[in-house]
Amino acid sequence: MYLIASQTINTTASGLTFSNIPQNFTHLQIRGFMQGSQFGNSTYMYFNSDNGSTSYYVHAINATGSAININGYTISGAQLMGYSNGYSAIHPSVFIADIFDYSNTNKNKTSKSLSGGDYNGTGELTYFGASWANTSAIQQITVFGNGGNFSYGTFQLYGIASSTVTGQ
Amino acid sequence: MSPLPIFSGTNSNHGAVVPISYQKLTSSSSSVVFSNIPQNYQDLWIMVVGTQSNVNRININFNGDTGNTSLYSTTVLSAFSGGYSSYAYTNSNYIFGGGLTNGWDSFYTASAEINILNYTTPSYYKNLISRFAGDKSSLNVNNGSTEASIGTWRSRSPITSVSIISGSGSWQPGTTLELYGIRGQGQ
Repeated sequence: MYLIASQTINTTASGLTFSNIPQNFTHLQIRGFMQGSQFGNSTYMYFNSDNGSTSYYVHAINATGSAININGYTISGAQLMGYSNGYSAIHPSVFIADIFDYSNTNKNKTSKSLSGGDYNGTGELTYFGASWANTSAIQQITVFGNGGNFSYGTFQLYGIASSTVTGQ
Repeated sequence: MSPLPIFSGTNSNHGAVVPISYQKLTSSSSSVVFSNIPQNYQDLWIMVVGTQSNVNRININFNGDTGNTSLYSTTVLSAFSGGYSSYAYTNSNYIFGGGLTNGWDSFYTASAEINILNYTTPSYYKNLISRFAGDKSSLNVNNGSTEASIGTWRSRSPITSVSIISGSGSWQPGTTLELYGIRGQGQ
């Protein structure tokens, strides 16, 4: 796994974009922590400027500490984070997302994200699977807050390399 | 063969995942401590593969504050062959929940992956995001579970040591624990 780029939000921003993503890795991983301007907002990512309202299919399993919610929907981005976009100025939420075969032009793209925030009794954990019905190679990823801005955050984009042992 | 790649500390071609420490238990132990953790990575990643003397929870402590669990809390998603549940552990240092979570014997080990993000920052509380799997061959409610959890340590102190604690027993010989650093910008 190799670091491709890192971006930090120090003042309020609607999101950020990773551009000119190298095409020589097998998979991508984004690791992030952030606080949204409104607790309860969610976080998405869209690829290559495609944020069409029905471009992405998402399935989610969400745990609140007392209940489990399962859902599926079409939406304008692959979901990274559920409702808990950070709790306070010192209490962020986190996610780790993988994007598979991002440069393969023979298949639609899929991703998964494990995310959440725990606030001592009011936390939530959500595991997302998402697909982008498009075979284009992913060259750009935009991370954005749905319904609000980010107050702060740090996001790292990593490339996961093919095996140096098998050469595949 | 070395159990982990040898890292010189200066090889930029090593990638973003850098092995820091590896421990393989030769005798039982109630906890395993990673101390003197380098402060020059973005995140920490811990892998645990092994068994405990009792089927029980896995706990964690940072910086040696073993007597103070009130700063910890965790939300758990648990699936087992008899159903699924979500637990909220408040003022508690459990990483994983209910009594189904750990390995069974030397042939049926359990595995846990723990990510600790931004572990050095003095500006924010610390977040853990983790996964666990432990299964036995036959399908029975008492024979395994798959879990994910999100946890918080409500402290802004940089994490310099991590204790991985067996809930009410001990880690058994052969259990392995690996600590990695995840490089960020300029690291």
